[in-house]
Amino acid sequence: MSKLETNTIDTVSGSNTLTLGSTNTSTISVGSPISNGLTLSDNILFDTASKGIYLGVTSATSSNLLDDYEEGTWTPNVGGNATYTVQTGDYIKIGKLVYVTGIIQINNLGTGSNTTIVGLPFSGDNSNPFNGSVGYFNSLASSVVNITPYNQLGNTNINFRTLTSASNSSGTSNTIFQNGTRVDFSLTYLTA
Amino acid sequence: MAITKETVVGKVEVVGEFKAVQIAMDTLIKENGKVISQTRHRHVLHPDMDISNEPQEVQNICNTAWTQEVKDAWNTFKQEQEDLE
Repeated sequence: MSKLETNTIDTVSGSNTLTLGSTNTSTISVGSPISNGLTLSDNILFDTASKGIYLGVTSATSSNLLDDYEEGTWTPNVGGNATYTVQTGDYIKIGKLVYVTGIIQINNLGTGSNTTIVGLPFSGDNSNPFNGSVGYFNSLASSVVNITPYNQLGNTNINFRTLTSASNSSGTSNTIFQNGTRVDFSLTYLTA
Repeated sequence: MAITKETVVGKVEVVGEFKAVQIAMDTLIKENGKVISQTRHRHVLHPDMDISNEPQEVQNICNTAWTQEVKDAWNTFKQEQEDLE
């Protein structure tokens, strides 16, 4: 095993590469704060999953650790043997926060649920409910004046509270899906 | 120049009190073996779901995580949620 000595690098110019060996456990330490910022010419890639960056603090505080970012797709569905004309979903996850969008248009509801969309990309926190919004709907099974999607506690379902007339209280989960129903929605929630 | 497409299990996580199994399936487009494009699709499995169509490695994880105690706790939790609606 080679010994890593303490050296001072005064000047690095051109396209030099500093290599400390492929399997060492050394820490590269900058003697004093980098006062003029840090500019990199490529992405940062950790060699271990779930590592991140502490933001806004000078000590390792777990509540300030950003260690997850992901974007992808998911498939909203109503279960059973339902078929669809449109069925798309996207998500972005930043830390524990998940933002999803989805469009679902039923072709034939069959044995699918008439109240619930399932298939969220991450399981929801089971201590708080989360609400979203519906930007467009068509051919609902009920006529409504308000419709609000919400994530049921601790699972991957979306239900919809609806109001069929003006009210001073939020609605209840009603039948909304039938053949031809289209709902465009978004939801923000926390993961387990 | 060979272009290929394959779908692989990118990540499996077991999370929460009820051992939800979160699965990321990655679709990889490769040119001569080198990944040139990648997309991720996710879904989640709960203890009362049918997992027979999942990859074997996912089934193995589910079967390990979902003890009878976990299944019972999940079913109780679900019933409590339905009773609230």
